[in-house]
Amino acid sequence: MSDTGRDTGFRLLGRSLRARRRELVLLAVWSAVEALPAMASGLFMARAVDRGFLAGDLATGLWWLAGVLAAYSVGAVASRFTYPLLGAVIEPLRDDLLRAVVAGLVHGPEHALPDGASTARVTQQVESVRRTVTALLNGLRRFVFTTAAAVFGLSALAGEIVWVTIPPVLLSAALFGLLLPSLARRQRAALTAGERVSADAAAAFAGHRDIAAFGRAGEVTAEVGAAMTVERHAQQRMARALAARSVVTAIGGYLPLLSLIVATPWLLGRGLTVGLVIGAATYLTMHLDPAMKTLTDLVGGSGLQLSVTLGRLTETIRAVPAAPPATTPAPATADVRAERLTFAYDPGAEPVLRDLSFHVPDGGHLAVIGPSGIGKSTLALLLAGLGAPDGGLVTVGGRPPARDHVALLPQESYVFTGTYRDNLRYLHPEATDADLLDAARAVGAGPLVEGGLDAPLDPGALSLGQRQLVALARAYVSPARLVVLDEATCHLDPAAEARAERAFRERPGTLVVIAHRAASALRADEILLLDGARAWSGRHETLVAESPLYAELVGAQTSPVC
Amino acid sequence: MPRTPADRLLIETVTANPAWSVVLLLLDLSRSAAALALPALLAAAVDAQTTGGDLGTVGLLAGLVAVLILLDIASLLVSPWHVNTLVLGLRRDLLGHVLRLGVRDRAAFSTGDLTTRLLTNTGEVASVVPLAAGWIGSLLMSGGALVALALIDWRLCVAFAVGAPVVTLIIRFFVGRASPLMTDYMTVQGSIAGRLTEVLTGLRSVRAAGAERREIDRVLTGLPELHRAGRASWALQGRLNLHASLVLPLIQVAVVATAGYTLLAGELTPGQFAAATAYAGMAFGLFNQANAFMALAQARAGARRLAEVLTVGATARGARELPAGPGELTFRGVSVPGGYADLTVPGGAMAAVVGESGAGKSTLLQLAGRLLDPDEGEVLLDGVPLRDLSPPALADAVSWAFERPAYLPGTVADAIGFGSPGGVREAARLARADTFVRRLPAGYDTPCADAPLSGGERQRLGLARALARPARLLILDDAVSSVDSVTELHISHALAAHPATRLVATHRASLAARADLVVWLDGTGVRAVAPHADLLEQADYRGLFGAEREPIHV
Repeated sequence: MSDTGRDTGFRLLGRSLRARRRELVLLAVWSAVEALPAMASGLFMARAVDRGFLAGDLATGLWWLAGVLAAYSVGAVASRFTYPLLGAVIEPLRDDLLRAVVAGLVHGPEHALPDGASTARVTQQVESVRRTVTALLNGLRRFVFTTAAAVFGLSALAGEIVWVTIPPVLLSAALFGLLLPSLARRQRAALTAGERVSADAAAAFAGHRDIAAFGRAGEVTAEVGAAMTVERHAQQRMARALAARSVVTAIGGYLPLLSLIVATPWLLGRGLTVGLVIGAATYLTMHLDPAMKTLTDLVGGSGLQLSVTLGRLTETIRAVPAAPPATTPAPATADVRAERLTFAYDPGAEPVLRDLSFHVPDGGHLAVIGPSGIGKSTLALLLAGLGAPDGGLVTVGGRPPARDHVALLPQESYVFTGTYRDNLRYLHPEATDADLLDAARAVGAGPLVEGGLDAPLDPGALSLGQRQLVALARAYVSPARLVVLDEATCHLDPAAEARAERAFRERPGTLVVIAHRAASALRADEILLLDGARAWSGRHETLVAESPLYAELVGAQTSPVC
Repeated sequence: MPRTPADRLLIETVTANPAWSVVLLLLDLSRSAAALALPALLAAAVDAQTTGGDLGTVGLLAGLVAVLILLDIASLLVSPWHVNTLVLGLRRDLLGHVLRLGVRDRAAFSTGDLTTRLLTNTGEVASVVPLAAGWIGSLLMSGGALVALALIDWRLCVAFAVGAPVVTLIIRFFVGRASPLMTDYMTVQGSIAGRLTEVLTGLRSVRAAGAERREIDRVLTGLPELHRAGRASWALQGRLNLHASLVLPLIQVAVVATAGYTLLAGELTPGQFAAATAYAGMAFGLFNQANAFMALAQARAGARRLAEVLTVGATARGARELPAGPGELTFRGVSVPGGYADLTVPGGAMAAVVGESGAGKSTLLQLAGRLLDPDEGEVLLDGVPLRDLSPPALADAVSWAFERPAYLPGTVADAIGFGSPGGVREAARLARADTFVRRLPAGYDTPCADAPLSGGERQRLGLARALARPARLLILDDAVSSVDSVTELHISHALAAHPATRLVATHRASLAARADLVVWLDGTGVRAVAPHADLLEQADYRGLFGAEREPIHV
């Protein structure tokens, strides 16, 4: 779990790998053992040729070959251990990442369109990190140990061979460095285009019903297809850069061999044997060439991909707060007091609430009404302790509101896959089954729990109104003494809404209803009317007399036929 | 072997763009041929250089290396081009198919899950082409290396062939196991993504409950399982490697020992000895394909996940055009939740659909515009069964607004013009959206994703979108439920004056009162079809609106 407030993907990766230091050290040890054939094969082969087969001594030749076999056997046993060790590093890393990402999303900003796009994107990013770190670790350890082993073997054969074969390798590495920036640029462009496709496709999947309703499946497919084509072009540009990189790989792979062949007469002239040349060729073709290919694939492919993906994940995981807010004991009463309350979403923006004052006694019932966009939901958030006012004061039971002691139900009710019991006791984990069933019946959700509390709840199968009933029952059973319903009954029919509100009125504690229908206001003890310019509060009779807006709102709601 | 839909999909992918698949295969085969020639030429060059020196052979060798490099480059350009084309095709197919599913079939998959299938699984499936081509190429190379061994000396080939069957058995064992492991992994991953989407949708409630940490734990309940599936596949790879790495050097050394014997007997040159070593190494390639098989297993698992979606039948399309008509809507023995519906809404009339939450209002509306096909009975528009209509004819005839508009792409103007690009502003004025839209940072050009829209404002954009389309049937599913009372009053005036046939699901008495007739659903089908005023005599009906509990005059 990420415990710092400003985490980055890179730091998380570093921390996760450091925590697996033991496995990494073991991995290095076994990798060194695994590279034994890369060190011994050419040398033993040269000896087998020079002292055995070319010297007319079959037994000596076979003994040296048995040495090669022994080296490979030891290497094979080592690889039996390296894979599970890689898994022991990679799988916990994926766990750490996934935990950090889920925490980052849950703590992060609310999304304008919660459509699953962000979920799919981060799942992909996490898998991408898993894949690329695997490739990097696997490739790097092979490159490092194989190259070192092969160079060691070559120099053990003869110093001259190193001078002939290693310069092209270094040239290749230098050229590769020059190609990196343009490759990185193109890779970034391809990733950005890919993210666009991801977002567009997710929006289209989420918007399926609307698209079907307007008969626009073909057009939307074509539009998202256009973004896919853009991604394809970006991929092609990247493929061209990768092809250029392969020339560099070839220089590092083939040139040492060619220069060995060209230099052979000179090497033989300096007293080297045919067996040594063959041994050197063994090192170059069997070990060094594959190692070079691995390196270039890694740094150009997985390395860049990893750095870009980690950068993007950083945006997600940095939202996790340093520590959970401390829990405070519940206040004994829940009288709500606001004094000159002011709040703006941006320091420079026009305040949504300005100098708002009101008081609800413990056990009271306040309805808040006003046109949409006037700051009613903002007030609900402040009452629930989910935001701090820019000016003035709001208190519940004499203290700043703490979300642990307020049950706030927003318009979008949250239900999750699980049993009805899990869903209903969400705000009160200790509640008994009898409490839960009573709460469900009280708010009108009785029919939903007829199948028992163990029945599974499938969010997709519930209507918006049924979801609200579940959320209402959950708030009803919660121990909170202050309940704030922010249009939490808007998907219910008026009769069901009235029943739910009545249940909350009879429940001990204070009730604040952000009213969706004027009827809600009529049920309250006290009404707070916000209209942007100013606020009125008072009883129904007072407001009708004092506020033309109130009269209009209530008048508009009343059925003209009655 | 019976072919599963997944295997069929893989075969279709390989043969989708045959010319390029063949080019890719030819490239891989040429690379294999050139790679095969390399040790022979290298042997000749070594022999020439150790016996006095011959730059002509060395020149040939350099030429072959150049050809190898060029083939590499060509392959690096062609392979991604071809794969990306295939991915594009698969993604378009998948997206197009999902968008043509019925609303119920679509609901079987979560958005996050579908997106993962579109983004990841398509690539896995398309990669089957280079995998197969590379596999055939490597078979050629290994087989060719075996032939080359035989050409150098038949005994070398025999020495190699002895160990082959053992290795084949190991590979078969591995592929049989890897595929279910991969599927397990992906399934757990999908369930984690599904729960995460759920939580993000209800994020405000989660925050209010202070339940962030609890929710994180809940989303991650599958993590240990994911961990186990991942670790299991690593352990399997390790086991395979042990077996493979033990068997292969044994064969190689057998070949080299045989070559050493013939070298000793003077039947082989030192160059040929080196070539034999190289060919033995190349022939190993035949058995050293753990990664290729792993990828192939992954491609099959990916194909299975695509096929799962693609085999769900899309809504059948009719071919008839809609004759001119007033927009008369008829339900003939249509099964609805709890009962049947038989009713007619005259052309140009406004019908309110009322009933308690869960009484089947949305279903009735979805049937009326063919977002759903009824299990029984027939829905007709101006006498033509909806299922006979061509999709464009149906789309032109019907316009919709929902409780929660789900697709608002691009700018506000794009979103409103989604149904029909003309008359965006006029529609926005009718839906009382014009005022708040003009207050947005870039007015109608503000991207919807950046616009801070409340639920009621989103609804009004959705309503504007519906009104922008000149349809003969307008279906509004609780489309103004989040709009404040004053605004709703204005909108209901506009709706009452609208010329189309209107089907309006509502909880509000004011809207029902303005309708020409009311369709009353009570969970057992249609309870009554009558004007609001007539139904008001019934207490059950009045109870729907809670009207009798509201003070009327103050």
